[in-house]
Amino acid sequence: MRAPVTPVALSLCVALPSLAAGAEVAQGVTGRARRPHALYVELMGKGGLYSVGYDYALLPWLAAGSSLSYLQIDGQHIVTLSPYVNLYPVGGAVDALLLQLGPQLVHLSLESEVEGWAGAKATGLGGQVSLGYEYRRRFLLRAVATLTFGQHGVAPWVGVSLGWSL
Amino acid sequence: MRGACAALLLCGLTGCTDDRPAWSDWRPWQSFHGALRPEVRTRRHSPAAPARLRLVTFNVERAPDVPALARAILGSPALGRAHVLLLQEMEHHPTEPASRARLLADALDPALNYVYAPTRQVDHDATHGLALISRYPLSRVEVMELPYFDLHISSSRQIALGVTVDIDGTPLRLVNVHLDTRINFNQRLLQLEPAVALSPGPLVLGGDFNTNPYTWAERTVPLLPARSIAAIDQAVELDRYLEQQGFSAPTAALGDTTNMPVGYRLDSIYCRVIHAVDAGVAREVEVSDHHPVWIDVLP
Repeated sequence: MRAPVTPVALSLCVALPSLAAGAEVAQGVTGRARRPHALYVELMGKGGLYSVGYDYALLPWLAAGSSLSYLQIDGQHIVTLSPYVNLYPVGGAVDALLLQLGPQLVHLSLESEVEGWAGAKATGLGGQVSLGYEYRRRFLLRAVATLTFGQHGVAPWVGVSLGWSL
Repeated sequence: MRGACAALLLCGLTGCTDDRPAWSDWRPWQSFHGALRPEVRTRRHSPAAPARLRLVTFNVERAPDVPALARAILGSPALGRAHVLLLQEMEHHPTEPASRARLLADALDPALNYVYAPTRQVDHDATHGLALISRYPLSRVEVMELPYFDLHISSSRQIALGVTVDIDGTPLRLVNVHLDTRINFNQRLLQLEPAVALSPGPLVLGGDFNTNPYTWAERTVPLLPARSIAAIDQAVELDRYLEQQGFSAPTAALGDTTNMPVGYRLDSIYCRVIHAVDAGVAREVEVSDHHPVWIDVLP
């Protein structure tokens, strides 16, 4: 049987992380300079449905990293590799405007489930540009609007990343 | 909502495959009852066989304005002299004097033969389905229930309509289909497979195959980013599959068939044993979100 969530417990859940975060700011331990590693899962975004990624802040305004996604849908395998750089033109150490750009390599492999057809493969190189918001303490949140482009056109998309900064 | 998101993610991570769908055989149109019973009008008289028989497939997008559709067909150099029309997204509304297939046939020429085969009921007792209009008499009018796929939103029964037209004593078998939109390519082949496998011999297969270029997650979300960079052209792969089944693909090189800002080759015609001598897309006809596609065959 699950214990009921009391208002006091709920308040503590909300208040304690906020207090801890406030203390971090006061001690100057937040931000990309002190937490340059970012490890995250992106929902939708560069991988279509999801991807996992890592990036490292080289400078307060610049980070570099990559994400990888693998999907298997109805016999179709989709691998997306997305190296990128993050630029932080506006904002502070915790909240910042994020501009992300980089190439994307996509490989599709469609296995046949029907007699009389051999399946198909395709590989393409394109790119992506994303603009959005980053919140970074220990907890990392990014929300971006993305334009993916390649030989078959341009596609708008959105992504939300949740992760940790170390 | 949380469950749906989890299912979507799990599907992407592990893959989701259906069991092979069961096949239904062709059934005579008279064996259907109720709202989905086909409507058939055929006359015995067969005009003389033409030197070239023109066959058209056209998704008419519900044909809300039948007189305008008839004017567009009659005014088109390509369609005005067509002998057989395979139509998709035709409708019948009880508030109108007759099915739109019959209204269209009468507007083109009251002597035309036609079949209207409802696929599903839509709002207020209306129906939505496939039609065939022909200058030549009809026989062996049959309907096949195609494998069903749950699309989560707006799922629908799909059918194939098989009709034999009598070209001055020579029978020509035609199959008209309209496949689901939000299914992936293997499912598209699985949906079409029984209509092909259970139609032996000389055949013209046409319709809206909905060969869109997207991978659909959970038959709901098109994965746009990957498609912009690498894409498997479903129309080309369908051509390859049907060529393996003994068909030629005379409309393969005609390009997009949609009348939309984004173009796709969704509509095609394939011939087995029968020889197509010419083909085209009637892009001057703009009364629907699809353009008509035509071929000429030697009867």
